Amino acid sequence: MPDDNELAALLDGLPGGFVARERLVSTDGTSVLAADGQGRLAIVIPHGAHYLARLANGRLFAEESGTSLTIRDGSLALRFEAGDGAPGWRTRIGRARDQS
Amino acid sequence: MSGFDPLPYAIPAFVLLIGLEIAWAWRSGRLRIYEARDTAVSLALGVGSLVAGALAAIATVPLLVAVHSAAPVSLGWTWWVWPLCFVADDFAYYWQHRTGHRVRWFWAAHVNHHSSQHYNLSTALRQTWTGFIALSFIFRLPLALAGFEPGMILTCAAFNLIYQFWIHTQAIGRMPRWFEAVMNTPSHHRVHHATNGRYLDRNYAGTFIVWDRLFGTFEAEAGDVPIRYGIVSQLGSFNLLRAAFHEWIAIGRDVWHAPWRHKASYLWREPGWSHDGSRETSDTIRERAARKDSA
Repeated sequence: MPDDNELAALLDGLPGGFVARERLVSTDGTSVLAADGQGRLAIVIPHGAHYLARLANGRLFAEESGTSLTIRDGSLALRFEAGDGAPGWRTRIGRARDQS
Repeated sequence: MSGFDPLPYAIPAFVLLIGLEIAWAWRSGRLRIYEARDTAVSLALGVGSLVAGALAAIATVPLLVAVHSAAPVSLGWTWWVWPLCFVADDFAYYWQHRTGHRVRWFWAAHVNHHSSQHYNLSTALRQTWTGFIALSFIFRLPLALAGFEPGMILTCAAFNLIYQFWIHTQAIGRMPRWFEAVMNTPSHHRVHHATNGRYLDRNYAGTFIVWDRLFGTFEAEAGDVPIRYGIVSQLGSFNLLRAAFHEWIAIGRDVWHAPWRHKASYLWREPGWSHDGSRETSDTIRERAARKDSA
C-alpha cells in the first residue's frame, strides 16, 4: 500500500478533496478503504507500479462475515479485517451506494 | 508537394533511448518508472498513431495544398523560410495543444497521451489514433494560408514531434537556466503531465516554452512536491482499446444522458464541466490547491 504521504495525496486528488478520518487496510496489504468526515468512502488500489484512488460509487458492494468485510467494486474484490467496526463500515457503504 | 518526413529515421533512436532509460531505471533502483504493460500500451498506441496519421494524410495533405493555393503569397522553399515556419508551426502547436486540454472534443483525442500514470520516454510515443476525427489538423491550415509550403509545414511538425520525445523523462533534472527559459524541457513537461492541482493544464509548449510564458500558462516545477502523473480520474486499465477510446465513449454517455439544452456543452466545454456542477474542472482543482497551499 502507499505510504501515508502518497495516500493523503491520492485521496486529496479526488473530486472536492478527501481527508481520511478512518481507514482500513486490506488483508493482503495492497489497498485501503477510507471514510471522510462527509460520509464519503474511497478506495485506493494498486494499478501496475502505482496506485489510484476512486470515490466509492453505486457499484460498490459489501459482504460481511464476522469481523471481515469483502468489498466488491466491479470485478475487484478486496477483503478487510474490520474488527468490531464491521457493521459500521457496512452501513457507510450502504449509505455511499444510496447517495451515488 | 515535396517535403521530408524525418520520423521514420528517428524511430531507431527512440527505441535505443527507451532501452537506455529502462537500464538507467533498473540500475538506479527507480523501479516504478517503467511497468511492462503500460509500456506495451504506449508503444501500441504509437504504432497505431502512425497508421492513423498515414490514413488521415489522405485527406489533410490535399486540404493543406488547397488552402496554400488560395494564399495571397507563397513563401517558397528559401532557406530562411524554414526557421520561420518552424516557429510558426510551434505557435500553432501551442494553440492546438491548449485547445486539446480545454475543449473536451479535442481532449478526447489527446487524453490517451496523458492516461499513463508513468512518465518515461515510452510515454512520448503514446499518441492519438483519433486526431483526424477531432479535426486537430485545422490548427495547421492558417500556416498554409500564410504562404508556407504544405511540405515544409509537415516536415516542421514532424521535427517538433521528434523534439518532444526527449522531454518525457525523469532521468534529466534541470537544463541550464538559459535553456529552461526558452526551450521546453523535461522539467517543464513533467509539470504538464502532472495531476497535482497546481500543475493542471500548464505548460502546453511543444518546442519553445516562451508561448506559455507569454500567454500566462507557465508553471515551474517545484522540487519539493512529488509529482503524480496521469489524468485526474485515472484510467486504471492496460486495455489498449480503452486507452484509445475511453473519453469518446464517456462523451457519448454524457451527451446521451444530458438534458437537450446542455448536450452540446459536453462537446465544447472544458473536461470536467457538467451541467449540474457535480464534477470538477482543472480550474476548480487548481483553485482548491492554491487555497490549500496558502492556508
